[in-house]
Amino acid sequence: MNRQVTRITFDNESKDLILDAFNKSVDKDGFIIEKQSKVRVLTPEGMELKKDRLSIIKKGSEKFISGDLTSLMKYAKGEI
Amino acid sequence: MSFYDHVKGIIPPSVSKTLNDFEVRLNSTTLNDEKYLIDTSNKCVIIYVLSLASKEKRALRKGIKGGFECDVPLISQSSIGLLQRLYQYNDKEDTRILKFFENILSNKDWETLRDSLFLRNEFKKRKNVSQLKYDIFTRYGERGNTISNLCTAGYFEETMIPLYNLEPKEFHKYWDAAVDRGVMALFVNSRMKIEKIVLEIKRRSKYGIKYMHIHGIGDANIEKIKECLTKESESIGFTVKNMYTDDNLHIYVAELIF
Repeated sequence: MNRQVTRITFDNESKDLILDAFNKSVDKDGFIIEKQSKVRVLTPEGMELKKDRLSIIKKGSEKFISGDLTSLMKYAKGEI
Repeated sequence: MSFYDHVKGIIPPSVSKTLNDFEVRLNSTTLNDEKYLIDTSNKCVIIYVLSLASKEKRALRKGIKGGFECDVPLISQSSIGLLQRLYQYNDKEDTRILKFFENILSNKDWETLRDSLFLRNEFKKRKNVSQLKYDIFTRYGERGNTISNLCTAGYFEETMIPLYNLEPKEFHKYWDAAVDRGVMALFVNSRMKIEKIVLEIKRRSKYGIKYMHIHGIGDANIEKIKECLTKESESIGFTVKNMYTDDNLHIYVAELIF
């Protein structure tokens, strides 16, 4: 039986739960970090990412994508 | 295991088996302590995160990871509107401009142009573009801001393409002057006083250019420009030509000939 979920969407307040699912947390400056190593997570374009700008998590290892225009444009075009 | 296999304690299998190709929406609002709500008209199941017990939240986290492993994208609800508009965005003229500059501009400038064309498209549809402008400035700095302004003002189709076709070898010199020093165009914003506008016109006249364009969007900016041009044309030494007004979008453009 096909019970495919088309997408999982989350509001701002649910981001902590989402990050927790991926073993991530947030440092004192608001950047997403690895829970264990405390290293800041990078976007596919090599930039550090604040929790409030987190927009998409995509498979392909784990791609954490920012919600700014350029990042979403690249995502929509399949470039990241 | 799929998403629903993990969250049986929240959404019973008897319910989830009816949810084919549904969106899962995680919300931090509450609805009478309900854990979930099926919205068949929008094909989504809303899970009220705050109404879940710790054990159920653990299961939900596993479900999120399980969905992710099955290639289900996770998307912030605040990004969906912009993302949908980006998917739908398909303007023939914009595509033509992008194609033209694909091998002419650097990757960074070309990406800025692509973002700027989308911003212009949104502006024409009377959408609020302030966040998009901010995004371009944050990512590409003042150079990006200038490219965006030139794009919104129609410079790419009216000036840049004809110039490249006429003088391809000279183009990059002109391009860098235009985007680095903002020589060709002055965009008057609400923070600019008349004294600043005069200063900027004088600064541009020093580069030996024969003309420049001055742009204003919004009634207050347009009034400032008109007042400045009337007062200062003789002292700075320019004549005003080819005035363009779009009453619909409240845009005013004047060409100053030095």
